[in-house]
Amino acid sequence: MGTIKTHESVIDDKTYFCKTFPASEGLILLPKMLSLLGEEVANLIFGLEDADLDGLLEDAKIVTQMIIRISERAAETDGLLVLRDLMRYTECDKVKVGDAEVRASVHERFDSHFAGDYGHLIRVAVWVGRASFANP
Amino acid sequence: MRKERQKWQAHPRAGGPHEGIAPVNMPWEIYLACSDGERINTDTYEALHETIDLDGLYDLLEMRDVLSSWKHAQMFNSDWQREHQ
Repeated sequence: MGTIKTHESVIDDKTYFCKTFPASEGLILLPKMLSLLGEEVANLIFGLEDADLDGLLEDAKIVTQMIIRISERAAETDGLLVLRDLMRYTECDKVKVGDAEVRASVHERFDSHFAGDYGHLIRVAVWVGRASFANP
Repeated sequence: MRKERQKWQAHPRAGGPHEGIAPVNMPWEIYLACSDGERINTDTYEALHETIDLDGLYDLLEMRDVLSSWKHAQMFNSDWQREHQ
């Protein structure tokens, strides 16, 4: 289609909603993403079918390796903040706001939402990245 | 990812010794999608910020390249027909 769409997915019992990026923002973010991921991880994320990738992301060892690889590259690039930028148009139905869990922007509560749960962060980031950039 | 990236139109500064300026505040792809060579289409510019995603941008650029190729083919065909009449 080529126009901005909203995607929805359940990840670790939380429902996420994300919009594809406008072209102007996607063009700026895509090179940063590829730089952070590196060719190997980027091919893994963008080159696989959904079912194959889901299988990989259930493997804790592979997710850990991805976190290590991305962390190594983060020191040479804009860092993990690129992942927060990636979630500019992402919402989750279970974001903690005070004592309640509500649907809210993940971008605005990035630090607290993903604190101590980097495996979940990677799974969400992979899904958002594929929803936003898998077609171009 | 699309396996074959769009082959962008040649940089207009690359054809000779004279150089115009290159866009510095936006990616080339945005400029190419909004320009017809003479004018800037501000509606397209606005849409690329609000309603068109990356996939759509690449579609726009592909359409421009296709249209351009047809114009060139038509021009070459006119020359060919003159030579073979």
